[in-house]
Amino acid sequence: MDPEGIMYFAFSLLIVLMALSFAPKIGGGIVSIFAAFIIVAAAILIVILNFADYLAVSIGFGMLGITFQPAAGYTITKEQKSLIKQVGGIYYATGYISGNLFQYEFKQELGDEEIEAKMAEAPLKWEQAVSNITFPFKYHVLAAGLSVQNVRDELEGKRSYQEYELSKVMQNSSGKDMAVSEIQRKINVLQRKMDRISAGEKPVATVMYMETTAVGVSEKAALDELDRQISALQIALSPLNLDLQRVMGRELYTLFKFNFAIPLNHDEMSGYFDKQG
Amino acid sequence: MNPKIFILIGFLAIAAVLLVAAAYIPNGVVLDLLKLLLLALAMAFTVAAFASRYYSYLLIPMLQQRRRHIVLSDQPPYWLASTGDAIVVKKDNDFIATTYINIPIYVSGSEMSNEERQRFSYQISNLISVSKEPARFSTELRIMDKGEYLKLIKEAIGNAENELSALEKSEDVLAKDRARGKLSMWKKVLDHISSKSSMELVTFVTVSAIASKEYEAIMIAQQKARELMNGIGTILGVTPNVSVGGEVLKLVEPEYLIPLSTISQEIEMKIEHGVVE
Repeated sequence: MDPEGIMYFAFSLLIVLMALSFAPKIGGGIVSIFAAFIIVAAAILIVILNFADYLAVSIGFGMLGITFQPAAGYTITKEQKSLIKQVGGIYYATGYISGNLFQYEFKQELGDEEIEAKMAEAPLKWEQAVSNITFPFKYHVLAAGLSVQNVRDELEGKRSYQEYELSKVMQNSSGKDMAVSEIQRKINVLQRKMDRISAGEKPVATVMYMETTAVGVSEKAALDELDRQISALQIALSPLNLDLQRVMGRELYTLFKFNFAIPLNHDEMSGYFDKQG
Repeated sequence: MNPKIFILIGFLAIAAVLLVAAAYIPNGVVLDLLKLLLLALAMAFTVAAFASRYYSYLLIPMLQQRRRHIVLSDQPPYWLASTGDAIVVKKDNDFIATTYINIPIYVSGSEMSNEERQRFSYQISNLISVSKEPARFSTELRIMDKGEYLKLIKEAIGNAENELSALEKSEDVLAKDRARGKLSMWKKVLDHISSKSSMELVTFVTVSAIASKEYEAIMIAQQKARELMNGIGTILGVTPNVSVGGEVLKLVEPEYLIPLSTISQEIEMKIEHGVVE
């Protein structure tokens, strides 16, 4: 959790604790049971919002049937996972999928030959994936260059920490081998990243997402078709070794706004994505 | 200070006041209910305070409008710059101009050797890190607008039908057969063209710039676009160009991804097939 998240979490739970301390004054018997229920429910909701806000908000608004108009002509559906635009009696439904590289696919862990084989495969895999798609879609990679010195300093700091962890584990006897190999793996990954920067490669932060639009003569028809297209897109792009998740909630609104203006710096870009992206 | 913090403090303050009120109201059957109500409201404000970190854009309009369809903005999401080569969004007192750069790549992975595919992948990898400023690299698969083509075929069908009806009373069997054949051919062409969508794949880069004046934002965005185009041209060996007017709309608006003329023809076909079956 980042410092801002900790601040929000701490202040909100402070009020919950305050409520708990006031609970005896609210009343006795059945009233105190209801009071405890309300306080515990609020605490649980805060914890859920902290770890999966997009899911909680999507379910909440879906149950309440609340829709949003982010701009003239557009509506965000109550499930918070699709955008609808109506033009000339035809409904256009748009949905987004985030594409994250699987952890084990990070190329820092691969050997040079494996990297080269993957690079040679990539255009073919992409072409095969796209040729299987028969509906409109967009594949976006949002990239922002990072400061070489800052990234280097950060990597060196992380490596020093891992080396300190390694020396600590070496002093203990239990579970030594597994822990040592895990830390060694992390150090190797960090070292590879540093080597790449030293070799002149520019560090870049990226966010990958896909967008597809379905059409229908009614809102329901368009949304049903959109669900089908999103499933088909997930299947078609699965050979690319991406973790494909449907975007919901606030990130849907963010990606909608990216159609018209992209973030202006790296801090702004990273601030939008911390759960799904 | 970030205005979001004021929302957090405001909501938490309301929650604290409601809690204190709930604690110090004297006990009684009706007053106990009031206390529970105040406690529930206090907890709702606490949850809202926590959620305001990401959802402040929704919470304030929700409280103000108190209905099931919340209007976040009743303005169009952007307007096209008078120069036609950028779209402009107003953000508080500033203007954000966004320019779209078309990258004409016409290569196929299946026609490349292993080395060529590897080289191409590295080129794309370098492309992503070409700019230190945030830039969005996108590929769009869209349905071709066959409106003009369909119009021509329908005209040809009309002409063939006229020709056939003119020959209806004629004794010339050969001419009649020829006219029937012509009509049947154009109908088959129309069926074939309408039966499935023709797709086109375009690659483009998006870049945005902010300024206090609209023309300044557009100029900065164009400057950024020119710098990016130089980098892209060097890496890929192609001549990128800035998308203008209708081409920009094809990258932004969902209805341009699926042209109305093509889609209405497809819907018509689906209905016809449904009736026949």
